[in-house]
Amino acid sequence: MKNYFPILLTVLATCSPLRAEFVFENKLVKTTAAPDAKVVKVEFPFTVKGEATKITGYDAPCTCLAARVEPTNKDGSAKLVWQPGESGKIVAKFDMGNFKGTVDKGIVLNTDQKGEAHELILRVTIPVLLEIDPPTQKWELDGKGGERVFNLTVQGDEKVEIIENSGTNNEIFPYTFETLEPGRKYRVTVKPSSVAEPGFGMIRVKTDSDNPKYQNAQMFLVIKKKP
Amino acid sequence: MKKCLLQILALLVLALAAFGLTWLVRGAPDRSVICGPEVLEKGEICLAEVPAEGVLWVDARSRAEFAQSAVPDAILLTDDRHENWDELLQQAAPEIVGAQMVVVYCNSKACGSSEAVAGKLREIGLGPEIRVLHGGWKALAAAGRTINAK
Repeated sequence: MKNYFPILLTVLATCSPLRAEFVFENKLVKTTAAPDAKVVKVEFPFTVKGEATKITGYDAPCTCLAARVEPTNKDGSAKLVWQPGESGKIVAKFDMGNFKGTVDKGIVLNTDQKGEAHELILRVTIPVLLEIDPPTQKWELDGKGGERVFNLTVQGDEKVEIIENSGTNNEIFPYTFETLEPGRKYRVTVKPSSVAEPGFGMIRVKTDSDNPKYQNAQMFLVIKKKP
Repeated sequence: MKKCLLQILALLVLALAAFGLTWLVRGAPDRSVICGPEVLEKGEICLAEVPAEGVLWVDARSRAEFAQSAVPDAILLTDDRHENWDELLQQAAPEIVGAQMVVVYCNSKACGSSEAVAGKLREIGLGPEIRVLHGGWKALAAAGRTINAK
């Protein structure tokens, strides 16, 4: 019998019914960043159930996201081996850059438990300071043409002045810019000179915002065949 | 002890033999990304379903990754924190308007950039259908659809 001991041990090790598990309170955390925030920090608390387990890796595929496990070991190194009943958290730090809108960023946590990988999602809404409604105006090729309006509204408490505006195709898309309420509301009116040819243009605006993320915005103008 | 080691060795040899035999009979492991209606999320498209013409590929990875290897004729449009989104969008917009379909890819599902870029392009509404490539870069690489930097 003892000759078969190693085989038995191997089989038992592979088929062990005891499993360790990281149980997360929430695998999706939603947050809204302040307009001037550059970094957002969120936490994914967890508890370990079953048997002792080891974190074999945690990876954020986006360079904009840094992850770490807390608490750390006494020497400050990452605590990778967790005992049943212990609690900790994965702390994610998201560096937002210039993008505005809602983004989902993920962290993948792997453990020594076969087949166990946790995907943790951080959903961040980065506010838009200057709302442009609509973002694009479209005219049908060989259609009626006519005048269209963009409404520009500053969101939030702080006033933001539009200090410059320019068009990329003023011959086809001549426009007028109006200040309705300084630092708050603006209007851009466009009437294409012709809709007989496909066309594309942009109207760019520059603001006096201190935050580079909010210093530029654009409206799009399209003359296109109806799909 | 010696017997013990011999048995472990025998197990390893058997496992390797089975692996080698499977490789010989069934070929190399399939590394392609499985894609079909059961795995597709809203707004995604399988690589096999991407039309051959009228498609603009949008690379939502970092500029360094894009410079290293990309889909032929793809353009860079990313939410990467080192880039100025508005400037990239202004450069990309004329090509987007001219396309029938825009397919956005990034490294993997977890990177989140392709979904963010696709969502923003839908919001702006420049015209073409906007889709996210299921499997992202992994699917493209497995299908040999990428080119290295010139």
